[in-house]
Amino acid sequence: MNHFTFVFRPSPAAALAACLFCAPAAQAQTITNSGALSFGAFVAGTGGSIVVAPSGGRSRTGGVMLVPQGGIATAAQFSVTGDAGATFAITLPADGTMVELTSGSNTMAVHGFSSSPAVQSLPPDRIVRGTLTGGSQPLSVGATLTVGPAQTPGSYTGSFAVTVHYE
Amino acid sequence: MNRAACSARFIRPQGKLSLVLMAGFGLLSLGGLTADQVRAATASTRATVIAPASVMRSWADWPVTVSLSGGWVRLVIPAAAPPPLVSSLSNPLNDGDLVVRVTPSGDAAAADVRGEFATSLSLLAPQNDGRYRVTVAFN
Repeated sequence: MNHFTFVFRPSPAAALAACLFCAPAAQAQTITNSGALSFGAFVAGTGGSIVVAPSGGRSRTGGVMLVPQGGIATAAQFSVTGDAGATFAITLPADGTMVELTSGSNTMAVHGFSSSPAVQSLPPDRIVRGTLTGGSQPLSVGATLTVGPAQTPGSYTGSFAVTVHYE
Repeated sequence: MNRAACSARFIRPQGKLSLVLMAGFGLLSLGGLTADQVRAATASTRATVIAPASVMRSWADWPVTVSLSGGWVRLVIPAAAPPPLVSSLSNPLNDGDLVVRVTPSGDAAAADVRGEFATSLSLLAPQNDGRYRVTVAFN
């Protein structure tokens, strides 16, 4: 009967390198956009703001008059996919981030991004944390649009980005 | 019983060069992993601002009659009013849109809105002077 005994005394650096090389590779997460954030149509009046909730519901403040026709209000739709059970952190535009809708030289500011699942960080950050159950997580994003008094009529467009971090 | 013993020892990297190389591999691996873990997506966003001037022109060209009776606000859009059609009835003192129903049934936002509309006065908020104000917006 033969017995073989191996004695290893790896250095800390070697142990770290071995750990990094041997760790199972995580499936890269992806985030895709499938729907735009639309504030719909409205008459600016004396100005105010329009809030589109993550549910897609629209409300207003000030003298803005909402118009149901000519473009409905919708929340932006995203989908995060990756390993089931993986945790993630989605970063929305932080408060103070310049997000604008433009029509020629005219602009309107978009701020106060909200989401479902809800943001869990303190302002000014807007971070959503969660776990991928079943390997995917839908995300709805709403925001607030500031409308100036007698805002120049037109079709305003813009964009914003969200990032997902694998944790 | 024939016994054989075999032993092996891990040989420490000798010299600073080996340590630097191992640390370098480790950092490269860590960097690659981190880059794979961040993804971004962009969503478009849009809004349509309707000219208030068109509201006034439409109002002047096709006057809407407004009457109050029995706790209901009633509007009549002349049948002669051509498209674009009335798109909403709103009360600036309330948040959100009011539901405007076409008499006898229907939704003003759903289809052709020429005709007669009614909404409950209880849905409207009075102004400071006690009067009620409703706004009819045209596309």
